[in-house]
Amino acid sequence: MHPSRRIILKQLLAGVGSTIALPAISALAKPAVIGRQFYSSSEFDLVSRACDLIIPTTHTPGAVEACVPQYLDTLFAEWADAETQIQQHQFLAEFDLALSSNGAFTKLSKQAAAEQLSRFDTQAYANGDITMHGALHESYQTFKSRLTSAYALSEPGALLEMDWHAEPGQWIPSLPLNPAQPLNPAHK
Amino acid sequence: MTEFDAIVVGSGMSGGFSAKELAERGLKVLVLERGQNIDPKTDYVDLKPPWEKPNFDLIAETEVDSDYPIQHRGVAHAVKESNKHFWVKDSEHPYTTEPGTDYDWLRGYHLGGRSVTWARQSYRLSAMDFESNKRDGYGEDWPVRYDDIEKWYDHVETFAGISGAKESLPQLPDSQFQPPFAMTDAEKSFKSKVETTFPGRRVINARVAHLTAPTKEQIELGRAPCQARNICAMGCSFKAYFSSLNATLPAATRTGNCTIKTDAIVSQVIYDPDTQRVTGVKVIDQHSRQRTTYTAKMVFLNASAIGSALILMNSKSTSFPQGLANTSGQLGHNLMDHVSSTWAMGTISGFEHLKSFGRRPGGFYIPRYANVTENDKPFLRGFGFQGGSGRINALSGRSAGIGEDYKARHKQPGPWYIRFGAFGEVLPNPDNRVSLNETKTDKWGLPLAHFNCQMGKNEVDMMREARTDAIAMLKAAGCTNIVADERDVTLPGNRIHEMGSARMGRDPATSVLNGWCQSHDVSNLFVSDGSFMASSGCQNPSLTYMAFAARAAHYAADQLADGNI
Repeated sequence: MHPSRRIILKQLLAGVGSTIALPAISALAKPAVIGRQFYSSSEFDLVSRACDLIIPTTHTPGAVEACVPQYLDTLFAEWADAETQIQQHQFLAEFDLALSSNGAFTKLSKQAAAEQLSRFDTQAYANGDITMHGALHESYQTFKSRLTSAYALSEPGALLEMDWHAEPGQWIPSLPLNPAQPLNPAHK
Repeated sequence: MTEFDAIVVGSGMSGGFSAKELAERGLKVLVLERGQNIDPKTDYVDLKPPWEKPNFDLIAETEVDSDYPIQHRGVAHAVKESNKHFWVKDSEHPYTTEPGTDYDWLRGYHLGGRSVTWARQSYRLSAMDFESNKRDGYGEDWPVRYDDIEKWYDHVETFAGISGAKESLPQLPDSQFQPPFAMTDAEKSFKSKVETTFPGRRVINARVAHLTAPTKEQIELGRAPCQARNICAMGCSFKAYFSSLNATLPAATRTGNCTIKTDAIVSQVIYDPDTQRVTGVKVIDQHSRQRTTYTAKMVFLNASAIGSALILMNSKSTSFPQGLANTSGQLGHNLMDHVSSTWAMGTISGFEHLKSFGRRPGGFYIPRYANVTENDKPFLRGFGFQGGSGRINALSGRSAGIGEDYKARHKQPGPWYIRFGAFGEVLPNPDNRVSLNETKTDKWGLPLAHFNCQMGKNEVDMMREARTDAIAMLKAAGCTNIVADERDVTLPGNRIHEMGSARMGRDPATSVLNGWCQSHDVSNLFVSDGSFMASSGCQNPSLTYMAFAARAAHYAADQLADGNI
């Protein structure tokens, strides 16, 4: 685990008085990966901004605090082959270009950047996309999928957002989604 | 004077039971495993949380291409970076296939074998299955019937621990069950509507080798109830699912009668023409390549249907020029697997207010009905469906939106789905075979396996019907958004249920083994892995391997005690 991720989580848990038990920190701590391994500085800024806008900090850490940009950097450095790495560089270049029609995307105000990305996102998921950006939109969906999955598998994402339990200990087939709402008698 | 009473070659599903039963009978047993040792305390990786597994736990793309192309092609969902030590490197363990054919040989070489990574679905064969060859003429008639094996199913189930519910179905006999993992309300609705619409079909609890109410013996072996984590391919530190590492090998070693040697590749079984008995095995250390000979009063081959056949083929002599115990010429022939194709899925409404807790290891099972309760099928034999339900989550990120709304939506479960896929019976076919490659050898100098296997018309027709039936059942249950792509049938080997390479039968001229998994040719040689299977049924076969292995071990111990071996 990236040390900063754990520090953030500890601070957050302390702040909200959470009772979630963390695994022994010393047992999980790993040597920090120093520096970027795959992304250029500008690519990392772009990925970080996208992470911040897509999964922002709310009452729980966002994707940046969960170190998703670093996770993706490691993913492409360690997992991806040369072809996949090239595709990622190409995607980010095209993505940046598409988002920078009103000035460099990473330099825009947060609100302006959010509006720009939101428009792009809407187009990317529009049904029957036959624009010249079809391939870019598909690559964006893959990028967003990886970003979201990386967040969900991060320690704060899994524990605080996704209610993931390492050891459920039992199987309960049907529970009310909202504990305050009683079960329909037919389903008891 | 031999060193051991029995040598067991292989430490997986059946080898573990051979070792346990023989050792508990007081025999001195040597277990030889060709792969590395696995210590559950250090080699299981189930206690790592997802954030401790970088890169989505994916093996690097270049490494997949160079070292795991076949394992990954076959079971990408189970071959991960953190558990790749449970799978062979294809680069180190090559094999060849006949031009125009392909084969998925999916395996792990380590203590415990594929019992560490199996899917744990556990179903008995039925009386109908043991009579199927005789009835339709495909394959050799089984020399045993259900009544012969029933008590051995009881025996291994009681030890292993099988969760499930009694149903009294003639085509799927009940096991000795621990309580089942209950169905979700969505599954109960699916069950009700399917069984109403199709009176000959049943939707039942999956039967899985997971402890839900462990016995005293299981607790004494350090086994605990299933924790509903469903990360079983990583090993299980709770020892809740059955594997030889979790159960049979510890039971064997606690007797003080069992010795286990890993990294020991058995190259040949040694035959003495004077006594007409096997006397032991030749072994190559996988690292040092040092060669050793071990001797014993009898030999059990439990190296898998392919591994055991290869060892026998490589044990040629003037007495057995076609391979040891192969006067029938059937060794390596009739290689079977199960067949699958598309998985069908649909969403089901009415349960949006519900969720589940935990991740159970199995959902539901639809036992065979084709040519059982429905006899209008354009193919022989039949198939069962394995499936389950859940809520589609939005974790894939493949939906529009950014920001707080998007983040919030991803916490919310999506619609309930029902999903299931067929496992069909593959007919025994003498043309489907594994043999020794005549020119190519592995790095230990042993001939490579050469496969010539194909799925036949019966299997293709069966899977076409399964797809049609699956869609009909989803519709009957009121499902929408039904997806069931037309796909080719799975490659031979892909279901990882290889069997039949040394079939049992009554006639030594047409079968390799008798009904006790004993060689017709050599009385102190037993093969009690999937090799003995005369037909495949459509049920997952491991439970049957266990039952026959235990039965064979006790028979052999009796024969030894009576001086017949």
